[in-house]
Amino acid sequence: MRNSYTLITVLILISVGFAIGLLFGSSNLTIQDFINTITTKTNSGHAMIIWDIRMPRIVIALFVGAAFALSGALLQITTRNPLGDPQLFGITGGALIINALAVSGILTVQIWQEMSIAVIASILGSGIIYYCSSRDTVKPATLALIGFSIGAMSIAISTGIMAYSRVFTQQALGVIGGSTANLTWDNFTPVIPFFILGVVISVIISNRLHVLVLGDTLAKTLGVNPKQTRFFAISAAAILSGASVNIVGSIGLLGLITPHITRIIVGNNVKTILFYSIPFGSLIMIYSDQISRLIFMPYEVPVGLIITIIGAPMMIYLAWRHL
Amino acid sequence: MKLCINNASFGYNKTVLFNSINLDITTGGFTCIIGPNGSGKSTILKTISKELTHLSGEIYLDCDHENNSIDIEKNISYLPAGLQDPLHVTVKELVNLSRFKAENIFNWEPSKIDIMKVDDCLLKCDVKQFSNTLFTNLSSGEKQRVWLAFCMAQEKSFLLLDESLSNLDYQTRKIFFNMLKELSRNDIGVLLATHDLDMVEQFADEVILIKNNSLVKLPQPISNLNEYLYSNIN
Repeated sequence: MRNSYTLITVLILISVGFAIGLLFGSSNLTIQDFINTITTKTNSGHAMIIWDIRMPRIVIALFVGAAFALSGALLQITTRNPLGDPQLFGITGGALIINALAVSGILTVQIWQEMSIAVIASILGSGIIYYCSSRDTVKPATLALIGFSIGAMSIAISTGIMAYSRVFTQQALGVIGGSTANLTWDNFTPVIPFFILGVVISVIISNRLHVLVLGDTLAKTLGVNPKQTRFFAISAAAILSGASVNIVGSIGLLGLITPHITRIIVGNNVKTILFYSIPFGSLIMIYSDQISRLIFMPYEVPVGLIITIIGAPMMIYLAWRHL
Repeated sequence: MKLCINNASFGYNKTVLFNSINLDITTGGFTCIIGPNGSGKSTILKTISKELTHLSGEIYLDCDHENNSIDIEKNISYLPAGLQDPLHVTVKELVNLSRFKAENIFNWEPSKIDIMKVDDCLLKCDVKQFSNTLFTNLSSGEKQRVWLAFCMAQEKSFLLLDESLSNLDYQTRKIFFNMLKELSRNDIGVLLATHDLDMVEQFADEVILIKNNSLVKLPQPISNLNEYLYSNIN
């Protein structure tokens, strides 16, 4: 019951964030302009700003935030590691390199193809984490260290690729720091199937994931195959985060902090955490995105930096109090 | 119902520990397996519960009313030794998990029947008052009883427990054994691997001794287990 109030609050806050995103921006639209545009007194300039520039950006922020958060929650639950995060575990490394190659103009393919390649790269990258987590002898710290190294290496490679191809600083920052600037509906459509796929897999395995809290041996006696479940969970995490990284670049900490915040607010039940991390991820992402575009208007700060600046102190507090 | 092990050999990684074992365990009985450390008590339980595969022979369930063999795993609940405490789980949530069925993909909440059964098991094992307590906050004896409730709630015909009760005091162990005994009276076959000879003497219906890689069913009445266990060691 308490949780449904939480959900309503979060949804209201998300709607407010949505409204802020539509109303404010570097081109000054008044509320009157906004209402006029909405109520079909067409002003093609304003309509374009609202429907084709601001709207897709907000929607992408919503989806990407949800995807990163769910991906982080899946990883934290399956690996029983509070450090679970698609970037920290190096899963998004492949997708980031693909993104860098595309931005550099080295990889010139259709947007759908690029997305698919990024997701495949991400799934392949997740194989390392899957392999490590399915072995009993690998300690949580080892897993995090391996993942962290892969992640760091992939950032270095991506930066190297973009430096080599003399990509504009702003664009390179967008890949490394994460940015939702200048995104259109065309960028959004390829995410949808992967997002749905990731969510559907998560829904199907969530009951099994819950059983895994008992440990592998006991889960087996209840008819759950731990390795298979973990494989699907990590693949779903890879699909969600890989697709997201391919459009907005690397967004650190979002996948890490959201499940922790969710856990504190809605409790420890695995299924609850999985479900609620979706709106919480959207919430954090949508507000961070507004800050990133409005704080130094008309210039933009990469949204990943905003999340890190807000998220790091939160994470320090959470680690201090709750872990 | 009868769990039959017919001329089977047990072991792992192709190392045979036990050769041609014959053993029957019936529902409604409380059987204890005793034997020195490393004698293979766990191997036997693991093999019966199909965590390990038996190397030869057969293990099957024999029902009075139907002869065709039934899936063993669906009729056995097994509690392995050395379980790690599950984190962040309340007692009720933990016992609820025992009702998990693989085919219920979209049932997010336990059904009414599940809730009733779980409640009943919590009550029987005297852990109902801890329903909303985190499992990790319980004492060893309470944890033990929660695990028992977990097994009971599965409603299987056989219950296999691989437990070292060494860290529990006399009274707690007695309560636990008493619960197992009562459970077996409800037509469940309880098979327990233990070192607790005192309790075994008091409560067990049957005792199986492992010695020199073979199983011996001890004669009734059960007494002087120490002698059986430690005499004539070659």
